[in-house]
Amino acid sequence: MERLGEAGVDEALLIARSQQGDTDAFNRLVAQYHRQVFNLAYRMLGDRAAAEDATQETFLSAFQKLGSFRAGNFRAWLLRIAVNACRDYLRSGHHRKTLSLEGLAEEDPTTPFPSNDEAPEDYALRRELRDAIAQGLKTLPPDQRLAILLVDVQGLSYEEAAQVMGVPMGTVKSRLSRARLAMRSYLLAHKELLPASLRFL
Amino acid sequence: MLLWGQWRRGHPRAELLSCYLDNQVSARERRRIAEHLAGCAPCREVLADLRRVSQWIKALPAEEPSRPLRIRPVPAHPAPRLALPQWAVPSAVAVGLLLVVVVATDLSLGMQARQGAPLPPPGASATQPGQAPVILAPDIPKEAGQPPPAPVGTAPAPPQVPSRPRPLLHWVALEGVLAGVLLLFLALLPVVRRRTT
Repeated sequence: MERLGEAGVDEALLIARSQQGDTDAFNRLVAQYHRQVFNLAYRMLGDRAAAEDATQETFLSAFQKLGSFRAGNFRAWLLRIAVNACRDYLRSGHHRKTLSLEGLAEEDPTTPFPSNDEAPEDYALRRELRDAIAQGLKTLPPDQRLAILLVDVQGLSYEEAAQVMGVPMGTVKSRLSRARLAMRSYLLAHKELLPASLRFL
Repeated sequence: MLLWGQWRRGHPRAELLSCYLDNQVSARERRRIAEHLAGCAPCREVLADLRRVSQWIKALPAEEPSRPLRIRPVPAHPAPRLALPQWAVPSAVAVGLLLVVVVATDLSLGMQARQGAPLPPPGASATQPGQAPVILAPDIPKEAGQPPPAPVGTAPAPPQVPSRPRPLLHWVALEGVLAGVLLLFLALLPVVRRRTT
């Protein structure tokens, strides 16, 4: 029998208490997954304000639907709600304004400043690479972007990703490989976006 | 799992290489791909690119949400509220105001009428005692010898009598104003209750 770790037991307990209406317990789950849900929404929508809205919508919806959650992968269940919130947002048409490429060039106030251990050159390089990857991700079709975000960024297994996306595992493999190839093609075509030391693709 | 159709002209397709990268192929397929890669530089290059892209994406820094989120508990026993439809309050206010306006206008017109055209005193009729009645009729000649009827409007005007207040009108106005105030009060009552609870 698979042995649950301490975190797993805690999470199961928190879920059970949340299902009984304990908002403190649910808020601990929120604190645990807030960053992950926000990052998925941010990379899917490309806009901080929209991502904040989608994240809030995700947790409100999760709290309301918690009664329907049966024992299983809570993270996958929660991320699926987040994906649906993002899809609703994209369908609503609000994204047309927020997904402009001009927006990407703006200074991101949340970009971490170089730490004392990091040389300014390394910081600049990391920043350039981050911007290039972020640009490339935005050019992907939403389904492919979701696959690459779930597996490569969020670190989900193929099985979890299939659960979140609501598709067979074969579809995940196909979308993920296409997304990686598209990113490779994008970076090959936009080598100028890459830091000089990394232009060996 | 053997992925049929994932090989093309003796080379593994990119999708298969992507799965190979994540160790999502069967042991048999893995051996076959490894053997192929050992002797195929272009496929090794594609695999290296896929690996690099994947690593770069994995290294994408996480963004921090700008504010923490908390679900706030809803009161277990919310304060009871009057179950009125949404249109009830504005309608009641409108009716009350209308009533006040109508009654006030009526009162004002009544006062003007009294001041401009005084009414005859009670008990007074159009005909004074001892005076011939005035009849509005076609001008038909009567029998000869009979004096023609007095022309219309020649009757002497009644003497000017000072007008007196009409108690009935005052009562109606007073009742109307009271009804309006009452309706306004009833309309505002739920609002006041809601604010105080």
